[in-house]
Amino acid sequence: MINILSYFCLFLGLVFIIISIVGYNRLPDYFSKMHSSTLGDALGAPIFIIGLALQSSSLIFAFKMALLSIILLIVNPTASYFLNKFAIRKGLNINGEEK
Amino acid sequence: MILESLLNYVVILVSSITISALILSNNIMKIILLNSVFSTLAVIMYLILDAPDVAITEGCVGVLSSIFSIFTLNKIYKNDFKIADKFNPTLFMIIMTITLLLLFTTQGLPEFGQTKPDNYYLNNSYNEIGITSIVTSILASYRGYDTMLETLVIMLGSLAVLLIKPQIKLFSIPIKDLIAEKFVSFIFALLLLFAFYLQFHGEISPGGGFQAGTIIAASFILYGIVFGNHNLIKFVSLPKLIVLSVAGIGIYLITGLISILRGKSLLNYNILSNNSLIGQSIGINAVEIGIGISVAASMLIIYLSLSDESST
Repeated sequence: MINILSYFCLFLGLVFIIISIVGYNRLPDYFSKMHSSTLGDALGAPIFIIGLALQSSSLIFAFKMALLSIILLIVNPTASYFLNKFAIRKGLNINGEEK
Repeated sequence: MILESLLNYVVILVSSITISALILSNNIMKIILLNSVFSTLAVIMYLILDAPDVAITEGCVGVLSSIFSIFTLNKIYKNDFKIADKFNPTLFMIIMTITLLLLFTTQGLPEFGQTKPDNYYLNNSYNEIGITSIVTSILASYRGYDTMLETLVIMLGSLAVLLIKPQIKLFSIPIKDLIAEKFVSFIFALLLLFAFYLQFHGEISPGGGFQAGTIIAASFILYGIVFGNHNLIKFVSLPKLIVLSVAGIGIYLITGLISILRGKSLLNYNILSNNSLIGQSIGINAVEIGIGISVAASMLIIYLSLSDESST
C-alpha cells in the first residue's frame, strides 16, 4: 500500500517537473517562464520528496525529508514572489516588455 | 625535464615581479588587478605541483574575489582610488623581518618530492579520537592549532572591516513587505534549529562550528534586511558582537590552556578526563562551540559595519 502511494507521488512529482521544464523552454516571455518554473519548484519537488520519504526505511530520515518538503513548499514560492516583485519594480510590464 | 625546470624559473621570476609591483603600487585598482594576476600564476604553480583540484579552487576564488573587490570599491569610493603613499620605514622593517623568518623556516621543510603519503590518520583516527568523522577529528584534534589560528584570522578580518568607512551604506532600507515578514518569522527558527543541529552533530556527519556560525549569522542578517537594522541592533549591537567574537577564541584557547596546566602540550584533549576518548569528545565539542560563537559574531560584524545604523 505504502509502495503504491510512494510510486504515485514519485510519478506525479516527475510529471510536474517535466511540465515545468517544457514550459520553461517553450513559453515566450519572463512572466510565463516564471509561471511554469514555479510549478516544478513549488509543486513537483515537494511531492517527489514525499514519495522518496515514503520509500525510506528509517523514521528519522523520513521526518527530515518531510521537513525538507515543507521548507521547499514555503521557500520557493517566496523566492519567485520576490523575483517577480523586483522585476515589476525595475519596469517590466505584464507582457514581459521593458517600459 | 629541462623544460619543466625552465617553466618553474619563469613562474618564480614573473611572480616575484608581480609581488614587487603589488607592494610598491599605491592605487587600489592596480592592487586588485595585480592580485588577480598573482592568482593566475598560483594556478600555474599548483598545476606544476600536480594538484589540479587546488588549481581549480584557486582559479574560482581568484576570479570571484577580484570581482567582489571591484564591486565593493565601486560602492565605497565614488571617484578616487588612491591610498596614502607614504613610505613607512618601521612597517618595511617588520615585513622584511617576517620574510627573512619565513625564508629561514623553509630550511626545516622536507626535500621537494620526498614526502610519502601516510595513512596514519585514516588507520588510527577512530581508535584515538573515537568519532566517525575523520575530517572533524583532523580539524579539531590533530590539527587543532591550525584551526585556532584560522578562527583568529576570520575574527581579525571582520575587525578590519570595521575600519572601512563606506560612503554609501548598504542594506540601509528595510524591505517593507507582509509576505517577507511572515516568511522570515517562520524561517528564522528553522535556520537556528539547523545551525544548532550542525553545531552539535559535527562529530558524526559533515558540519561543525564554521558552518553553524555562518548559518546563525545568515539568519540574523535575513532578519535585519527584512525588519530593519534598528530592530536587529536591539539583540546584537556592535560592541557586544566584538566581545563575543573574542570570547569564542577565548573558549578555544582556554580549552587548550587547561591541558597545558595539567602537564601536557597545547590542545591535548586526552587529559580533560580520565578516559581519553571522553576527554577528546569534551575537547572537540568545547572547541567547536568556540568556533561557532566567534564565526557568527564576525560575520554579523561585517554586515553591521557595512550597513546603516551601525554608528549608533
